[in-house]
Amino acid sequence: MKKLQGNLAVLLVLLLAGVSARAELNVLVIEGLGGEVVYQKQFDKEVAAIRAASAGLTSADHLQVLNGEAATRANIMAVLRQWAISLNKEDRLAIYLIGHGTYDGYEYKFNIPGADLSGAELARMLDAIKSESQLIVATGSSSGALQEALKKEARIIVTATRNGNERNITQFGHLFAEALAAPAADTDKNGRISVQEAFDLASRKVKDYYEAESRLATEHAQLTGARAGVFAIAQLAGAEVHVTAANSGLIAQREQLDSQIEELRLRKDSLAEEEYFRQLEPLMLQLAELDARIDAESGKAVQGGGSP
Amino acid sequence: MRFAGIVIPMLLLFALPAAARGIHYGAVTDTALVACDQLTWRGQRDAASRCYRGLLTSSSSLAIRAEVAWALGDVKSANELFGAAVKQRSTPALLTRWGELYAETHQNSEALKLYQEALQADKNYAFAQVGAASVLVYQFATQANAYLQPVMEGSAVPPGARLRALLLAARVNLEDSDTSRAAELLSQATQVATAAQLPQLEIYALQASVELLLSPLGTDVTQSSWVKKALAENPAYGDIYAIPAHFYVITRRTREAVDLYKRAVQIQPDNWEARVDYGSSLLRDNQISAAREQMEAAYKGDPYNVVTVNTLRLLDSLKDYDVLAYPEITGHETGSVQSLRDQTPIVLRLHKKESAVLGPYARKLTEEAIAVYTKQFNFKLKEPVVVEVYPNHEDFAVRTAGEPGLGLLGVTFGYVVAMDSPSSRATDEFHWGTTLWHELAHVFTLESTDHRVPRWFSEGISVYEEWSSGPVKGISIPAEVYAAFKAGKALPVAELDRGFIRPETPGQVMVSYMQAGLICEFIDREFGTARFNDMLAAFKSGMDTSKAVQSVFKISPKEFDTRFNAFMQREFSNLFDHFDAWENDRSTMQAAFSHADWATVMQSAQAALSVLPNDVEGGSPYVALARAYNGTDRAAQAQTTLETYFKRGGHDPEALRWLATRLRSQQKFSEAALVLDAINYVTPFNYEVHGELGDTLLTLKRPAEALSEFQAALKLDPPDRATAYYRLARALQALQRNAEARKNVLMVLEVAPNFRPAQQLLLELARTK
Repeated sequence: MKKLQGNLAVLLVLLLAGVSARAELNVLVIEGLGGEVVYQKQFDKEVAAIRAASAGLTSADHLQVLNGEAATRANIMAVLRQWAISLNKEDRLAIYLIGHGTYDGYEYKFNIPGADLSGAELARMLDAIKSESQLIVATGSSSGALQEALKKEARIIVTATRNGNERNITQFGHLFAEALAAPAADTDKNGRISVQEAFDLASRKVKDYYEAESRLATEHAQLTGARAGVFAIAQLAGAEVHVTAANSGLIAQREQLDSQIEELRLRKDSLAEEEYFRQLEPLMLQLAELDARIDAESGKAVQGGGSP
Repeated sequence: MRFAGIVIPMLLLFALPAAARGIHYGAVTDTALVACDQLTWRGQRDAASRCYRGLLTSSSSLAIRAEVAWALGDVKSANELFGAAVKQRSTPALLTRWGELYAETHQNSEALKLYQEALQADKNYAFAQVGAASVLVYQFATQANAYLQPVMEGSAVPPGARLRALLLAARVNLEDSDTSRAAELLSQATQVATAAQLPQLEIYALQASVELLLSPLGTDVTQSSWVKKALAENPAYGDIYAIPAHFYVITRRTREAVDLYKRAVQIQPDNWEARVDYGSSLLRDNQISAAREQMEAAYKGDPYNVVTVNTLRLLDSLKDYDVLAYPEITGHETGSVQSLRDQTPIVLRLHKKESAVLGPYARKLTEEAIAVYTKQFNFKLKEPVVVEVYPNHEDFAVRTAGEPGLGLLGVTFGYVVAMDSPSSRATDEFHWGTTLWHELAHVFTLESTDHRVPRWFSEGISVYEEWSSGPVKGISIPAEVYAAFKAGKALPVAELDRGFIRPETPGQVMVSYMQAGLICEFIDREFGTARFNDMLAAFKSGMDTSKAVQSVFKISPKEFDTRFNAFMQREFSNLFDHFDAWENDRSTMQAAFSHADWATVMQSAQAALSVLPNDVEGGSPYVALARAYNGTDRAAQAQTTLETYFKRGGHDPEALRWLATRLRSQQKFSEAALVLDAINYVTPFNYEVHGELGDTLLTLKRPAEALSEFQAALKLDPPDRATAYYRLARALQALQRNAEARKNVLMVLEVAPNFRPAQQLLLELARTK
């Protein structure tokens, strides 16, 4: 049963990735106050990585970064109000809160110049936006409090901590940002990194970090939202394939082959292992040859995950 | 939760019968009670028991009834009766006896409180002073001395208290290997005991211990006149064997200790302390099942001993360990390697979650070490070496000392080595490969001398071998140790054992390790390594350090010290002359590093390295300097700096990974492979390092080694499994194991169907089908 679910998920990824790619992605990256030079530098790096990753998926006019003195509550509200007017149901939005957060037992606050931004305010503004595909990533201390504050069906929420009470500086932020450019994050090697993939790699690295330091983990990243596996947030260099008149036939063939492979994978449990791989091999060989032809048509030597 | 139960709850303490009531040497004066006690001390147990029971019904004194209950093994009632007696009328004598009950049930802090309460009432109450000294002596020697001194020197001290003080002092001196002083003290103790007609059994046991420590190898201590004398007085006096056995334990002669403890419990089955020590010694000899048997028996008799409880828990946890025997054999009983002893040279006991990754490395290093040391010490091991690696440091501590809180990384009991796993500590805390190398040298120095090598020389050889033949070569000394050397805190060679056994300051143990290593370095340079074996032979023949030095080097220990100090001056004069500036540069560098002030880091790191170019331990200026170069876009200089650091034995994993990545990008694959391999002896559980090393080895056309690395990476459950299987498939292809390669590549494509490198590999494999 577990295998079947896994395969269906793969199938959904393949189907939905196309849908998602066509919807407009709107990105807002907010960099909070570092407090100390070392944290400010770290946040700068994270923002740069997220900006670079997002730039590969959306146009410059759909990517906004608020940092330094510009990262005020008023400016944030202005962007969100604008989105409430301009975005449609099928549009996607991604908001990254890069910086320290606090939690007083009742309310989460994101630390920015001037008045802080509260979780409740953010929730109200997000609820006013029609977009059904919303991603919020908060990488700092106490960010886990946002899980409850922003909870909504279909909304994907990634936080560095389990709840508001995990108040120490986090490792998750820079590891999540690094995951956006890491081939290792792209576990299905489709050239795109989904929220789920980036989260999985960053969480693993957080775990590895605390184990290597022999310290009790003071952060436990959380992800909620069923569509995290299909919401792409980064694309690896050279992974993009544009459908052209020359390759459209090949891509159609590949979709047909993908279906055959998926059909076989769904039957895996009913076949002896040897028989399964015997049937899988010719299909994979066909797919490999087809992908090579598509790459040749697209002028690419090797793509789709590249060299490990 | 592993250790949640280590501290035994107070309620449990008094739930079951336990500890034997020791000889009180006149601390109890009631004639009827002493008459019963004398029967006990003569080994007439049934008569003593009848005598005590009689008193239990005839005496109305709460204090006497408490003593009787204790003597009959009912410590719960004894505790209640002492409490009631103190409530009725508290006296220093009563409080002290109550304290003794706590001390014998292993609750030293409670015992100390009662002794101190007794001393508040009478600051000169000698039995309380001795009691306090005895519970403090192993942890707080200075405080213990303050309690003991007045009893040793006072004029109006009861003979029994004086006798106890003399016995305690004799024991401590014996543990310090000062047999002459111990003999003097025992002679005084005999005079006191004879004059006051006090029991002398413990004197006999300590005299037998002196004999044991002074006698040539092979002497049968059981034939000692002291043993015969003791058994003639009390045929059930188990301590006549258990006390000498303790001195076998601390001189690391485990097997002899096992034999004596066995005799102790044979003649006195309810000597629970001896039974626990018997079990611990069996464990050190790797006789796991027999050890468990003794520990279980001890627990039934005395459930309050934390060593018993902790050890039984540890033994329970051994089910989570794999026993890997090389050459591999089948059909052995896990946990008992007796059957393996004649068949295999190496047995690894590794935690199941680590064995697949750690096993190949531990095996390789152990085999290499055995080969190197067999030649170096001209000694062939007679039994397999057992290496145990504990992922939880407290498990290792219990394995070693029966209790948590041990500050060591590894311990060797003859052919058994126990050590921390790299996963038990932060990655920058220790180099596990070096620790294993160090411990394996002990196997040779211990076994080639029948365990007669003194601690300092065994440690010195191990440290020397770390520097000269270990996985990380080069003399490497922690910065703080230099300060101690400069301050003249090195000990004379004849007293160096003291720095390990009874350090006067917390840092003295580390200073002693380094001094011992440097002495061996000095011997190597001045006299040649052949003298190592001469020293070992001298120790095996029974010589102490002074005699061995005189015999091997033909100079007095004093002359040896003078020449060693001159060597130190020659080696480190530059550092000692500029010590303050060096320390200052190092701290300036560290402060500047935390603020990313790269200019200052560069200046101070270079200055520090000009004084001490071998500074590769924690906080090394090389690492800081490389970071500073990197921070100012001078990667080439950063690389050169780290190459020097690596050559000198630096092993910071993060710095080495950067270096390896750089070397790989420059196609310097052989160099990169060396660096990546070195990282695995610091932190072997990093799947990325295994993957990168495997890739590098594959490029170097070393597919078998690459395959091993890729397998290790897979065992660590890497998040990118497609790449992990793809790498495995490439190695298999290179080894012409194409069918396996094809299966692996299909497994990759199953989860990542459009993974181009895997597709290409499948096409290649199909073409060669």
